Formats: sequence, C-alpha cells, structure tokens
Amino acid sequence: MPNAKKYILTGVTLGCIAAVAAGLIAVTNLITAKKIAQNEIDAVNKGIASIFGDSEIKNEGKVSGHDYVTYYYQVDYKNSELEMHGYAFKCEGSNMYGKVSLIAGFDQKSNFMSLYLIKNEQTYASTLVDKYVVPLNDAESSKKDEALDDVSCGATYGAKLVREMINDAKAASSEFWSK
Amino acid sequence: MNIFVSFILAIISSMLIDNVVLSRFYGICPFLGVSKKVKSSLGMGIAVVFVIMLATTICWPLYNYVLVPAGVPYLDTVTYILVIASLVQLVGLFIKKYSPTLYKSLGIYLPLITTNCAVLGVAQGNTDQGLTFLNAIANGLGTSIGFLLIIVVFSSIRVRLETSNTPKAFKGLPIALITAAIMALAFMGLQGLFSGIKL
Amino acid sequence: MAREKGSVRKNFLKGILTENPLFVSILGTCPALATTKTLEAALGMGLLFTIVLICSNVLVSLLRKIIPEEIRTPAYIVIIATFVTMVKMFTNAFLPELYSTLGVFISLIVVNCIVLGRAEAYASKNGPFDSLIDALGMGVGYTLAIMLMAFFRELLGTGGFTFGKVFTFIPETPLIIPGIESYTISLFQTPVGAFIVFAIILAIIAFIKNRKAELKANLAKQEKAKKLAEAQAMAAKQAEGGNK
Repeated sequence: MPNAKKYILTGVTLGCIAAVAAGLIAVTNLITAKKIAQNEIDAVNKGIASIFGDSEIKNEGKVSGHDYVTYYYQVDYKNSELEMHGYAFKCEGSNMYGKVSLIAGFDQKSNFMSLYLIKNEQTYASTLVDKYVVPLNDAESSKKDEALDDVSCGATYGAKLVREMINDAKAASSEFWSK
Repeated sequence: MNIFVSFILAIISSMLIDNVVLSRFYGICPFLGVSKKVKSSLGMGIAVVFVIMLATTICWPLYNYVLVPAGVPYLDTVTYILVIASLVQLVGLFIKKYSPTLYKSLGIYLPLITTNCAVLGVAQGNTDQGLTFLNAIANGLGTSIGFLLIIVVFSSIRVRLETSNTPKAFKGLPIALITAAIMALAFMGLQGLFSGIKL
Repeated sequence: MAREKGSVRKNFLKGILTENPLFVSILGTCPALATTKTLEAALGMGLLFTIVLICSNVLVSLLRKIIPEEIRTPAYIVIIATFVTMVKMFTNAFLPELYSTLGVFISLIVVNCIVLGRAEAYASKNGPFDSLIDALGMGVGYTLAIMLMAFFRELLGTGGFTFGKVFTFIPETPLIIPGIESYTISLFQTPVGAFIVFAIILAIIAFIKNRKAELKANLAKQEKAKKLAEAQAMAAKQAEGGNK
C-alpha cells in the first residue's frame, strides 16, 4: 500500500530529525554542564567574599530537613586582624513571582550579618534589591531584625520569601553552632 | 485555607496586577492583530484559555515525572512546543466539528495560537520557576483569563477607534499601541494591591 | 551558478529596510517590547535571535528536499527548538548575566513568528547560501530595530546608557548624558513606555511613507496635467492649421 509507505517514510523522517535534535542537545549539555556548575561555585565564592571580606571556606556540605537551606559553608574570616568563625548558608526557593537563591552569612553568635543574592528572578527584581535587600545589608547590627521584618517595599512577596529564607537559615545556624 | 487563598491570589495577580499582556508582554502579536469584532476575539480568547490550561496540565507532569527522572531536563523546550503544536491541532479539529462557524471566523488565528508567546511562556515559566502543581495551575488560569480579558476589552476599544478621527500617520497600529499604553498605565495602578495582606 | 549582480546585497538589505521584520511586517513584537529596557539587553537578544535564525534557515534549506510536505511545520519547529535550546545552554554557561536578564524570552525565540516565518516562506524554497543571506539580513534588521527602541527607552528613562551589566567582560561604564538627568521620564522604563515608543516609531514610519506616496501622487498629477496641456496645445495648433 502506497499510503502505508508514505506514513512510514514520514514517521521515520520525523524520528530521525528528533533523534538528531536530541543528540545535538545532549552534546551541548555535556559541553556546558561543567561550565554552568563552575559558574555556580564562582557565584558562591563571590557571595561569601562579599559578606565576610577576607575569608576562607573551611568546610562545606549539604543540609537536610530545612525548607530553604540547601548547603552550609564553614567560613574562617578576618575582622580587623581578629580570626573569626562564621557560617554561611545557601538558600533556594521560589514563590509565584519567581525563583530566588541567596547566601546568608552568620557570625559566631548566630547573628545575621548580610546576604548575597545569587539568583533573583522575581518579577520586581530591581525593586526587591533596591528597597529591601540593600537597606537590610546596610542596617546596623542592632537594627538588623527591624530591617528584616519591614517587608512592605513594592516587592512584598519577594521580600517575604527572603525573610523566610533568612529565618530558616537562622534556625540552621543555631543548630550548627550548638554542635 | 492558606493554600486556597494563595491560589486565588496567584490567579488575580497574573490576571490584573502583573497582567500577562500589558506587563509581561506575552501574546502581543494576536493582541495587536485581534479582530475588531468582539465576538471573534471572545472566541479566540476562549480557545487560548483552553490550550493554555491543557498545556499546563500536560507539560508540568511531563517535566517533573518524565524528563527530570530521565536526566534530560534540557529537553523541556522541544517537548513543550511539540505538545502545544499537537494540542492546537486537536483543539482545531474539535472546534471544526462542533462549531464550524467559529472555526471559519477564527480562520488563520487558530494555528497562530501555537506561536502565541503566552502558551509556551506559561508552560516554560512554570517549570523554570519550579512552581508546585497548584501554583502552576493558578499561573496558567490567571494568565489565560487575563489574556481573554485584555483582548475582549481591546477589541471593543478598537471597534470605536475605527470610526474616530485619528491623524493619518497614527491610523491603524500606532493609535492601537497608544491605547494599549493607556491600558497598561491603568493596570499599573493596581500594583501593590495586596501588599497589606498578611499571608 | 550565475547570480544577478547586486542580488545578494538586495537580499541582505531587504531585511533591514523594506521588509524589516519588526517595523514593516510587525512580527516578533513580544521580545521587542519586553527586552528593550536597556540597550545592552536588546543587543544581546538580537544577537541570540540572529544566531538561531541563521542556523535554522541554513539547516531547513539543506533539508528542504528531504522533509515530506505533511510534517513540514512540526519538523521546522523541532529544528528551531533544538537550536534555541543549544543557544540557551551556551548562554547560561558563558554569558550568565545575559541569561538571567532575558529569562524566559530566550526560550520564546522558538515561537517568534519571524523564525518560523522565514523558514516556511524562504528557506524551504531557496538554496542554503540565499537562506543564509536572508537570515543575516532579517537578523541584523531585527537587532537594529530593537536596539532603536531600547535606545529611546533607556535614554529617556534613565538619562544615559549603562554598559557592562550584561556583557560582563566590559567593565561597567555608565554613560550618563549630563544635564538630562533631572529630566528623565522613568515611565519609559515601564511597559507603558514600551508601547509608546513603538507607537511613535511606527507613526513616524507611516508618516514618511504617506509623504512619499503623496509626493509621488502629486508628481504623477503634475505629469498628467502637463501632458493634458500639451495635448490641448497641439489640438489647438492643428485646429488653427486646419482653419488656415
């Protein structure tokens, strides 16, 4: 039957194209996956440097049992010639407006120091940064909790998400320091 | 209660506050080329709602239960667009059978739903943002109803624009765009609508 | 193969001027409005778009005799989607800031009417070299068009340009034009501004076209009137000559 032959030819051609397409994409993945992973690591290093200053990562590992915290980093840093220890936590999460992933840094007393946004895909990304993250990072240590709670900034849902992440990281931090 | 409230809020936010066409810029092509007859734009909007909802309910499980476990999350774009293209064909056959008049009035706009940024945008955005299934459905519902709302309003405005006295250079598309700008301005005023709600 | 002199140039230029995909055919408007907040983002988007367009046009043209008629559209879509996914992955790896700025609009190149349209209308009927030139012309035309929109949006919205945020190998250089800073209209950075800039550019183009058409019509009218006058003069002369 000529019709069957036509259908088979059509199916085979489409199948071939699909197979070649999948192959090309898989090859591209092999080439780029490593670089993408490297970019993530670079972003984390940059974040830790921006929070702690002159610092070194002593230990790192996965964290489980938390909503947002995925990784911990044990950091040794210098604060005006004094050797200090701190913890940094990588938090990832999303709400209806997009993904956010950040690094939150805590000092020896489990006080929140500052945060560094790795990925900010919220719809009002720049508002979130300008009106919530920057004032939060710039606030004095005594006023940090206040700045953390003040979420109405024009990107309220994003700010709420960030606040929840920091609180989650705080809980993780007290866990780690109590060990 | 919380989930239900956030579901409704997600729908309303995609529909009004972060409106799919006027703020996120999905679906501009059909929006600008929409017919000046309110009835056929209503029909097209409903077809888009159908396609987006079906696409969301098919693509999300496809990604999370087939592609990711198989280790090929990067095949999402290709898979989604094939799903959407087939869905549009199916919906077209469906409409042709049950309402030939609607099929005729939709004309070329039906296959053009495949290239509607809103459909792929919602499907891709749901998995890019890692939304839960409920949030993905809310996103899809809000986007499609928002799109329907906007093109019906816009086509009824364009009916009036046709008979009004616009300067020659602005006739047709430019004045339609200015209208869209004013609509976007109006919708911009809805921002911050829910900032006081304690969730 | 003998080629008409200048046909390659014509093929290339038509994508930029007479058949500009954004301003003449009004295609691909979604990314044009969404990614034109800054000049750099628009340039990045245009670049990625051109790459996808060139690759898909050439491949579709090479395969045009093998793909059966019935599955043309799905086959083209698969080809385009493949290139878009590859471009997306390379961008994520080597230009991550561009990737996060453009977001989902890189994936939306798949449904950009221009890419599918050129594949169906041109690449399926012409050879690879012509398709390459056509794709190059359309891509450059689209890039220039969205850069024009971004130019106005960024200039009027922020009073200058900032380079280096997206292409991070350039150091961040804000290029603020002095004096305009206090007169910036930040509305242009919002969606409202995008619509307005698009509308005004289209209106200006329509105005120029109308003027040209008017001048041409006037010229034609003058020619006609002249010919009529000449014919009347000749008829009058003949009548005189006949009278004598």
